[in-house]
Amino acid sequence: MSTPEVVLEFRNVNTHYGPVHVLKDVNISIGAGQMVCLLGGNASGKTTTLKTILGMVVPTTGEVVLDGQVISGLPTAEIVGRGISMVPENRRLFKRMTVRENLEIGAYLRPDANLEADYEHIFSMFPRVKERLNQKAGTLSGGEQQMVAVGRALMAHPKVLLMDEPSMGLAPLLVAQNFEIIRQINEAGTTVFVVEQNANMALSIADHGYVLQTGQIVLSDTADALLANPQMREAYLGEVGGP
Amino acid sequence: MTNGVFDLRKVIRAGLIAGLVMIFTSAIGMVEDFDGRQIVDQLLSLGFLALFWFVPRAGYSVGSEEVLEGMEAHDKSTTNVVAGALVGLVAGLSLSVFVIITNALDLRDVFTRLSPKLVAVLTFSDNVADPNLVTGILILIAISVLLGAIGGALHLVSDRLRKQIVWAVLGVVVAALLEDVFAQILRTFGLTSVVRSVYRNGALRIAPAVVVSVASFFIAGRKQRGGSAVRKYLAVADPKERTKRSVIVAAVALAIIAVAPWVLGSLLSEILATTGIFLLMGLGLNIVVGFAGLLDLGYVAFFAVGAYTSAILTSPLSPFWSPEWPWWYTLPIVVVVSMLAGLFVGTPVIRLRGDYLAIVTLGFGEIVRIVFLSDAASGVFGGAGGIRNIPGIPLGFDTVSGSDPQYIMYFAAALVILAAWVSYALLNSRVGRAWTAMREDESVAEVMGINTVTAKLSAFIVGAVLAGLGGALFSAKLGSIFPTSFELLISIVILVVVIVGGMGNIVGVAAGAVVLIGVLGGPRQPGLLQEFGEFKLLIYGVILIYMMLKRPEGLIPNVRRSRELHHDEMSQDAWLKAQSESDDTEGATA
Repeated sequence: MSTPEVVLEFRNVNTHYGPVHVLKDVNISIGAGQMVCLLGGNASGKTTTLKTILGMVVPTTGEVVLDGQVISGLPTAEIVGRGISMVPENRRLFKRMTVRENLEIGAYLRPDANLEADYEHIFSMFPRVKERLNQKAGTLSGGEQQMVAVGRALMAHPKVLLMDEPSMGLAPLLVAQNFEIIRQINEAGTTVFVVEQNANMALSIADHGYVLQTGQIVLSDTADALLANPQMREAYLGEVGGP
Repeated sequence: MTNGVFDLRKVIRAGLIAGLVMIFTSAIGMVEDFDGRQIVDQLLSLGFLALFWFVPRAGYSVGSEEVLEGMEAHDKSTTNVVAGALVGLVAGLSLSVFVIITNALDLRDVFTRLSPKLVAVLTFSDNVADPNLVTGILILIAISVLLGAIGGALHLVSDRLRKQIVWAVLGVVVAALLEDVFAQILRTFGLTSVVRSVYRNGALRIAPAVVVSVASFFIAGRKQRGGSAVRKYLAVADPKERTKRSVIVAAVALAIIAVAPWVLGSLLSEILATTGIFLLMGLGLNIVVGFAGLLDLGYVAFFAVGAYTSAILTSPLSPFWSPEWPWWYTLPIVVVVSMLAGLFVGTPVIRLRGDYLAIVTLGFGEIVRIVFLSDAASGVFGGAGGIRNIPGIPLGFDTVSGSDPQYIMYFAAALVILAAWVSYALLNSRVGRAWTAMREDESVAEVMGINTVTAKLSAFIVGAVLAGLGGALFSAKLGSIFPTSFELLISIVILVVVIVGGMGNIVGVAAGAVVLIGVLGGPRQPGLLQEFGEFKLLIYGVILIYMMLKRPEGLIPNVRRSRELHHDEMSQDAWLKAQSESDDTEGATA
């Protein structure tokens, strides 16, 4: 397999919250059209990684590069405008706004666009969303909210879709469905970067995986290799003692 | 409450609460002060209304039970009446104890309003020196018991009839309290004799009271309400016809505004003008708090900045520089200065959220007032002496100031219409959507690409400009302004107007301003009910607490939203029904 052109890249990124050193010399590279996952336990720095991409945390040293241009240090709105959108952890829909308004906000940076085609695209992926279009987002079930959250992120026509813990708070069946949706979005051409604790599920659909531990990348390999890695199996896939 | 038995603890608690309400209203002097104002001639005074209104409410509350799904409602019976009467008895006894203590001991050193006069009023005695205590107390208890029983008896009638009865009483109270308005309108049309036959000393005569009561009874019984007639008239599918009808409605509204000051006379126009200025600021604050979700407690600062800018530029007595411009020329300057003030206050606080934002804006509001007050800056702003001799608004034929409230009302109305239009246009714009998203979840809004810094600043600036314009009109109306006119209380009152009316909703804010400022009066401005004078803030507080508990969405919640919600419920029900049916059929085939 030829290595695809790199879309998003972390170059020796270090971040600090005050004196606390969070990300330590992190290098990540995400190829165009790839699906890459970042695995790690609690407090390993996963969320900080996403915040760094979105410009909510600025690296103390190192840089984040999108399409060959340094984006670290830019304001969040500017970075989002350059083609990165996120499905936040726990969906975080605008609960008192309708589903349609949520989707509209997703296209906030495309004010002149005709949104009808985008709506149709999202309905074809999630027919349920169409039924719920005029309903308050807060009244939807967890699975439906996840669909709207994904739809909202897609409304921006992102080059890279970030997903923060997509399996969080969902029933196992829905988690599987959700990852199937992520796979479809990826196959349709969008680069996807998933941050997950559910390593098994994430690796089963990803091309490449990184493992983050206390702010350092400790493992980086193709997804298949990581699934077979005994160290990985023991630490993250819940198989004590290995096969 | 089961049939035939009732919860004695609940009854005693409700009775004691009602008793406490009565003791409180008496002890703060409300009963005594309001006793002079009659509601129904020789039958009911405002004082006794304030004293007893809560008793039927308490009598009603002990009988109400929450019927949850799957529970069966108990039969309504005479037990409700007995329980209500007992509540009244407990309440009446508590009040009696209070009357006896007040009569026996002189507590006026601590509670200044516990005077012999109060005892006389409460015991229906004419002679203050020698009240007929025993008879009076017996009457008090009898009235309490009766009212409590009536409250309990309201459970025995249908919901519709209960509503009608309540409105029959409310109708009389409103007709009497708004005597000024009705009498003035009738007088304008030369119907002084009608006024005299309906009212006496501000109170309804008995026969008209009965008529009003019966009329309210039947009006409340109708299914269709007056307000929705306009909405119904406007709700036609054809867009051309709708535009035509909207124009007609707008023209009628404008005609009413144009005629109103002359029909209502100068006193009521003055009240309307004040209401208009507060409504203008309410709409401005609604943008900041209701749309963008930024709790600004120092909003009065922008009002002050507008007033001082206009005053300095127009008054010949402004100490530092007095170009003596006509009022009109100051408006663009006021807009620019207010924008700068919004930017100045907004920029440092932009990174703060929630409580922190509230506290810091509160501080900024006070800083502005203190700067205007300070000796150091008195060379520019006149210190505590303020700026006097503000000439008013020059019109071709005259210079309009506070002495022509009719004209000032036109200006207030024009600014209010401007503010309402700005609010409406912004809410349905891109920036309005950004505000809504930011109010819901600031972090996610940022991730959606909304620049929260500019969104917040623009809300601050629009709000500041509206308040600044209000200030410019305020200074022209008053003729002189002082730092004390811009106290913290104004910020709070405007916020209360917005909350009570219905945050985020333009019509709601208007309703809030009319009820709180028009009827009760502004912090220093008289309203329709001048009797309420010193109790105004207490009543504001009571209304605010009541609204927070019972109707947090405000007097008039956002119509579009509530309709949407209703529609959702229906579609949700339909979906659930379809779902369960398909489950059934699946079960049958399996």
